[in-house]
Amino acid sequence: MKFAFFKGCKIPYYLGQYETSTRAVLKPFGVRLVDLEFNCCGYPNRDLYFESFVLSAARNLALAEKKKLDIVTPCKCCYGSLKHAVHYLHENEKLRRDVNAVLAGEGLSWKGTIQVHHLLTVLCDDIGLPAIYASIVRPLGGLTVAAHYGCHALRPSNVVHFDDPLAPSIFEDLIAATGAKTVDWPRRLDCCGNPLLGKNNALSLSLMRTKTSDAAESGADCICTACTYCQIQFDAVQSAETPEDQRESMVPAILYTQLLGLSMGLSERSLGISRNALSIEKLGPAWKLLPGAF
Amino acid sequence: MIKTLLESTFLFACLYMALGICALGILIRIARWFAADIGPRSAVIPVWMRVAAATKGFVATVFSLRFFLFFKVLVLDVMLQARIIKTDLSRWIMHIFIFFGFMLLLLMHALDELVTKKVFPEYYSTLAPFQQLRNVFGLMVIVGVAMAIYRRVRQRGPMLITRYADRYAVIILAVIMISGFLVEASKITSESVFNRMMKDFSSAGGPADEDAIKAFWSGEYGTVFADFKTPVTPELIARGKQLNDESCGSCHAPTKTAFISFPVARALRPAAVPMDRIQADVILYYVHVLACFAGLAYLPFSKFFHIITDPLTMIVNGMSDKKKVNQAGAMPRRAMELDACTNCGTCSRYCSVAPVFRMTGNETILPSHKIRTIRSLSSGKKTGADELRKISEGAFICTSCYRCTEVCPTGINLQDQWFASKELLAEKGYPLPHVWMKQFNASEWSDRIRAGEATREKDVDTIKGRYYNLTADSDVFAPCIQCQTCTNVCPVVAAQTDRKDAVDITPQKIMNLLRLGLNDLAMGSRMVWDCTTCYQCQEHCPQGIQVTDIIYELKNKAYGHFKNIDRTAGNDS
Amino acid sequence: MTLPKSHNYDPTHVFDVMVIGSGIAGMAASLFAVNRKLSTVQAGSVGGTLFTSGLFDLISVYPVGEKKLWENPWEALDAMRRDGSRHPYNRISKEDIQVSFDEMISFLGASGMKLRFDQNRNLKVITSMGTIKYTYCVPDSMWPGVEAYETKAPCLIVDFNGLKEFSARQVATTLREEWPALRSLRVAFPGMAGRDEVFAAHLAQALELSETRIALARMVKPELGDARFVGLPAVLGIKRTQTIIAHLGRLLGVPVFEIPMMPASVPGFRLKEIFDSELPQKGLLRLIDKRVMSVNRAENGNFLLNIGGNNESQVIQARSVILATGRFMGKGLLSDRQGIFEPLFNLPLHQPDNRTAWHHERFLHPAGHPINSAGVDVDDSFRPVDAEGRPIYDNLFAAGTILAHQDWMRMKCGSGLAIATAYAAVTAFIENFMKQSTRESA
Repeated sequence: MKFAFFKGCKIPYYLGQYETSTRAVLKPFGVRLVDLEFNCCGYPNRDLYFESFVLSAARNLALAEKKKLDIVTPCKCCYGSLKHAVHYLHENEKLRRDVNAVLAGEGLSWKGTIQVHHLLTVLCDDIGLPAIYASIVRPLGGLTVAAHYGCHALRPSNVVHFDDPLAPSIFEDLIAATGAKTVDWPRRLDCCGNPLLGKNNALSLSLMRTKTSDAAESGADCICTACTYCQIQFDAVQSAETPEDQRESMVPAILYTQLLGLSMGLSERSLGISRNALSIEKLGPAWKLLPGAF
Repeated sequence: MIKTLLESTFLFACLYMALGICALGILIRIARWFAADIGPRSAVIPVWMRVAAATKGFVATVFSLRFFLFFKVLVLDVMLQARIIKTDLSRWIMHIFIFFGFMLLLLMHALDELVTKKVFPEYYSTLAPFQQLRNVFGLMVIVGVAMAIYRRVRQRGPMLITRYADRYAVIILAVIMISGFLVEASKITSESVFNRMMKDFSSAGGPADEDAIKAFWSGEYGTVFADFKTPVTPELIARGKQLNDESCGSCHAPTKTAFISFPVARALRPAAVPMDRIQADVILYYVHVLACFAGLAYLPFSKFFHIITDPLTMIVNGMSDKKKVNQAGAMPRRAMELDACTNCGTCSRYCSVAPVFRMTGNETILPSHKIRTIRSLSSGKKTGADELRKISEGAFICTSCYRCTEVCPTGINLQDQWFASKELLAEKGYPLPHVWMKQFNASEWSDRIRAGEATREKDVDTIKGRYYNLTADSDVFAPCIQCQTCTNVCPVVAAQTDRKDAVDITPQKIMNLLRLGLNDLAMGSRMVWDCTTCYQCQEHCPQGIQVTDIIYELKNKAYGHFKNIDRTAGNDS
Repeated sequence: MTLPKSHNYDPTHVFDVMVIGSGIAGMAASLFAVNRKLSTVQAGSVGGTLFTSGLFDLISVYPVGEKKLWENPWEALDAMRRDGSRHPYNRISKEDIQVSFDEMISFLGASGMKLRFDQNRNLKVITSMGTIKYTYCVPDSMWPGVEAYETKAPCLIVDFNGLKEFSARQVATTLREEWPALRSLRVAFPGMAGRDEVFAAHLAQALELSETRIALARMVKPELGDARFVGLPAVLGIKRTQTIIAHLGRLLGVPVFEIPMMPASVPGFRLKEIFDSELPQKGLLRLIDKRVMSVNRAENGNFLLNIGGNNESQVIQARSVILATGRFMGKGLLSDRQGIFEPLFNLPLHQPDNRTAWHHERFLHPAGHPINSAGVDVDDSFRPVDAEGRPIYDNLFAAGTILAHQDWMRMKCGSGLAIATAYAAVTAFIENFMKQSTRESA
């Protein structure tokens, strides 16, 4: 399996561990990730300029098309944005013509010949749960995880085609493979608040805290994410913005690739566990027992 | 032939003047690094704190293990310029040619008395291999400059804009190089130079021998004699060669070894005699040397200043953690980086949001332009509201993806520059639109939009959706049955925040406003600008209304209006 | 359009049943179908069940014109039968109606929504207006309210600043004469003080957190007085209602109950959550927010359904269709100048002869309007029939409010009608079609 790897804007500077852990867990399954000169997925620009958002996304799609590669992205916002652009380009002929006219300046064009995948669907459908189960050497029993779905991969379902938007199960299925337990928590499909960070911080943090409180009350040891922005919100932002007297109530977050990697017996280093701002205490012994972890 | 610089008082004086200007210029510019206000909170960080922070950082680095990074940066980044080769091989060749060609000319040719002679005691400027090497180095610089010109013409565009500084730099380099070769070529052809050397060095006896040498030099070495009528025979040349080997050979290699200047001399042949008459070699020599001095004096004020700032920047940034920024120490560093930028455009070519520039035409989105806006903001020049708005848009469209910082051949911490400029713009009252739009409430915005509509020619294209017009198509929102499901599933309406921050117009009310044609009232609402775009409303709408898409479109349209409204005007305007 | 592979959906699969519609009838039909191991697919908009109050009516008013209220719903059914009414209930045995209710109740109970009923008696429930409503079956969370009303025990009704459509004072005032021990209290909902308007679902979500419940109990407790029950608007959580009620009861020291509100209500969200999450686990393929754009029939009689979202479509093949698209709000029936029509199969409808006959002259006429009883005519197997009473397709069934000869709003029979007719349609499909048809699946 070979994919063009769309890491998006935030991973290189803010969340390098997401890239290293993604590469680490995909490698044993024979998935090759190819780096192309992608630009921003367009999502951050959609607030202000629809056309710029579509062009940004379309250029990425066209680059991958040129190499005849499907795109896989570990970020749910990038996924949603690219899928939205595909949707609009299919639907609106005038838009397609105009965007292709701009792309032609670089010798590119969008024809719609490639697919966009999120990392979780590649793991669940392309690699398959049986193969994932077979790769687990150190099940993370004793760990209870709240799966955070992330909005932009899930909704609107008629555009993103990710999973059942009202009762998704893909993330819990994948977490179950690692041996960890999942909880059913009321806010599981809600927003992490990150889209409002920098725009309305009080609101952004309020959304985040509602979710972390809910996860804690539901008995989760940690929140598991599969999106760059969500992880930044629950990890770095939660760590930086929680007042000293409330740090007890923080709920740490872990990337799914890190969780899976640990249960696959991959080294803590390759998964970048120490780069997370918050550590999951319960996980400590689990990975320290791993053969060859240190 | 040898008339060193030091024998001309005039040139000598010029040299010291140039050196003085250069040194003073460098001092002034470095001092400015500590005085310039770059980035936020500049008012509260006085100069002494900046100096202290810089000194502290310097000392801390020198006495830490990171100091060993110094050598790595010096060899890889400064000498081998590995940062350039990462992104562009041809540019690296160009730059290596100019840099090494010029530096070697400077050391081996200009400072031959001080450097070359010390290293190679047998050095003589007209001897092999020094003569060839000088031509090799000169050729390197000329090829490099030619590549630079070609590149700037070929890649001309928003990503690589050529400005006066770039032109001056190329012109000075070209003048120095071309005049250098012309000096050498004119000396080769010059009869008077030949005569002077004959007088000084020749042990030849009679006129026959003189003719023999002349025949040999004019035939083989390119000297042009105004009045030489002796028939040239192979014997005469053989004799001339023999005499040349005896008298001149020890300190004069064949002029052909100057493989650039010699063909040039050949080409100058027809004009050689009159040139010699006016002592063109001396004139050209003055041009050459004075051009060098001019370059020297101009250095701190020109693009060439990057010869100093770039290694410094590479060393400072290569040895420190780019993510941990101390505001006091960062200010002088940022100022130095502004001087280090050579406007090479690499950052813009790799910019992640360049497509946004293609669509909107706002060039301040591109990092190479953005760094100029930072320069102009820090210069204290007054910037108009319209310009600030444009700069702010450019600054906040940046997604902080770090690519420009990674590819910058100079190693400028661009990421930090952007962070600082965003904060600064916010300080100046030009933050993200999501923030500044909240200075008025929905109905105040609505009044302003209407007033703006009335006075301004309608920019139909930007205000109306070009591809979709959900907010004007009643088929889209009219099916709303006001069941409030959208509001009930909206996490923003539910969020527990300050009362003043609470959502005023809920999603289902937006649908109502659209039905009433009160789109302008919806545009400035908290709901629209605080929407997390989580698509809960759209996914749950029993009527299948694209609620979130409508909110997106309202934001787009609102922004189209808001940018044209004077935001600084008070409420009663 | 392609479905995500995560759905494990094979586009060449031939389904036994396609349920069209996502209201209570559609959900019930899907439940009964998957419980009987039929391969089932369902299409419809999101949130069809949001517009339920959480109460499960069987029947309490008949005949509509007399507004006669029945204590015992089964007696009302007997009366209908005696009168020869064409109400769909009359095509189903009482036993089957009871069985269908039991199956739904046990499913909801197992999914976390316990329901309470009294075999032969309609329950009396306080509404948000302070009126008393007869219903057959209530969520556990409302049960203490039934008891409180019955005993007229001292009771405190609490409401919240900014929560429109629910006024504790109005409830208390309306019921004062028959229930003097009823008092009201208004508090600011924890964390939402100062808001002009608050929304039921948000309060419900907030109450999922114990800190909100503790803060709420702290405000209510001092005002309890002699109250032996506390009534709250139906906002006590979406996922953890049982836990929340138990916790609040512990905190306050008296039983806590919910009072149903106008749709779209929180109990509607609870039902939606249960159907959304439980039915796919039982094997239902749900096509969320997909409408059936058009229908064709294959040569072997199977239905080929063109499913569409925005500018995308796909074809699904099913051996039968259960049409549960509701009336006008669910877009099961549409109207134009000529009259009303059924847009998908263009079924013949029972309807007034012309538009002027749709309504009585008096808008509030007690007997309701002829248009309120319009809909699809069916045979005893719930197959739509033509003017001569012959089934149009042997594999097309209809259930729920799209059926003719009933006025569920006035008869208070909506849920029962939906559940019972869905049950009848599914069993008829199995009896008359699956067992007898030799038609092969592709």
